Amino acid sequence: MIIDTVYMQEDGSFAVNEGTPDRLFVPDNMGNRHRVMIQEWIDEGNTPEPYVEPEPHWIDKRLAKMENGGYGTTGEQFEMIGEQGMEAYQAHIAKVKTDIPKEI
Amino acid sequence: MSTIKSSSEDLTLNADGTGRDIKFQSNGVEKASISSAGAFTSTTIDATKLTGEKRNYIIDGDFTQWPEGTAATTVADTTYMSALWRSRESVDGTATSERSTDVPTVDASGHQSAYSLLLKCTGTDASIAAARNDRIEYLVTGSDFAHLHEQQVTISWWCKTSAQNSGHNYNMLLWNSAVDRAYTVSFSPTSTWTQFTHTLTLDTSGTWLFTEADIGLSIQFVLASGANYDDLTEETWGASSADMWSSSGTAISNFYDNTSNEFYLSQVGLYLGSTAPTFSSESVATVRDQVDWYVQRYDYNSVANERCAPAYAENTTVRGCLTYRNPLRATPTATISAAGTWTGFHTNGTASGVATGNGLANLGKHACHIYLTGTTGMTHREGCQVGRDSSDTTWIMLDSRH
Repeated sequence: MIIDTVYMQEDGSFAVNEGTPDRLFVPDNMGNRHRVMIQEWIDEGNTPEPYVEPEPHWIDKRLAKMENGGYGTTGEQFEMIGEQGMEAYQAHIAKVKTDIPKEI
Repeated sequence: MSTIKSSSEDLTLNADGTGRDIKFQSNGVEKASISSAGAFTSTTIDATKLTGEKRNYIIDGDFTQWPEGTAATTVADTTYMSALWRSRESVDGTATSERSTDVPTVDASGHQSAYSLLLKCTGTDASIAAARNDRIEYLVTGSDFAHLHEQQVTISWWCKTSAQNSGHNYNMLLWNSAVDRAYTVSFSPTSTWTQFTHTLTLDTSGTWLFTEADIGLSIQFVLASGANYDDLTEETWGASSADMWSSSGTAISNFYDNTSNEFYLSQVGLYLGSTAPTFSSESVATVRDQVDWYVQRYDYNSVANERCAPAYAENTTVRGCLTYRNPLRATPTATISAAGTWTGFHTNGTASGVATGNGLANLGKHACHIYLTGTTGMTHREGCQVGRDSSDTTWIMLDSRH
């Protein structure tokens, strides 16, 4: 394996570019011979690129729990209607739509 | 001569009565018997004719599986050539490995092989430096090696050279996992296919490993080696610092002394006991399953737009689950063909944009996560499929070899 660049993945595994269009993916397990090679590459002073969390889709943002700025779960919505009434619920929905605009 | 014969129906010898054995005598003296319990006993058994333990502990010793490809490729250290044979090299010369159809004849070997492993010297290293060497290596997994530990075994291999290096002296070498115990024997192949066999008792000293995660035994053919590795005594187990040959025995030749040098290897076997049977291979289905435990390659080339996995769209990223056809020995390294060879497909079968990125994650022994990015045209949260883009060269390889 000839290491060009190494990127961390979400699950802690490594994506390795070898300078070809094909890509190599290596588990974070020192029993794996390629993982040992990556460690040698790191020990030589190289650093893998960190994992970058992708921006969630706007639909997923709107469908998030209330504490995360979304509509909330079905249970959260029923609870809001039951405890605060329909007007408060409609205002909540409108606010979420304003805060998280539809992306086309 | 008198003969007991039955041509049209079974012949029954019946020692009628409970506990009665069948006896075979010569000149009034019993020579063999079959007891009422079915045990066969003979005063003399020709062991070479028995069909008992003949398991070959080398998987695919017939060189049928080549997941990395069959064409000539320049070898590099620790890269695999055929499925389970890898190159170990540090010389200043260069060589290629490839699949060859030059094999021993059936008349000579008793087996029709389809392929052999061929190494060709393509760049010379006239004087091998002290710390340089070149080897071909097969690794026996610890749990397989446990069947052989401290027992008598016979190693058999067929090889030949080109006319140029005919008569060179090379070495067959055995190492433990820690490379601190070693055994070597020299052999001199010629330009005619020749079988070499060597019987030895495996080491009773040192540390040997026996689990699925371990390398149990390293079997190597040394084609060149510098003076740093010459401290062994031929045909004797000894302590080793990665030693490969014995300067007090037959001096090792240099495979890299001429670009016409070639080394062919075929029909490799490792057997319990003092003899090697006529080489035979398991069925192709069994060999493929055995190799799958270590390495699997999926070439999606049987139809255009061949599907690989069911998936789900997360914006323009298609995420699927690739379930392997067989479990692997360990969590594998995975390699995937270029992003442009992959496409996301709507469930109605239409393509939805060639991927601009791709990857494999959550690598397990049974399945992994496959993803394509930049598959424009997908609707968020749409059920979909991952597949080959048109008739591109689309593949995945999973590697859990030692």
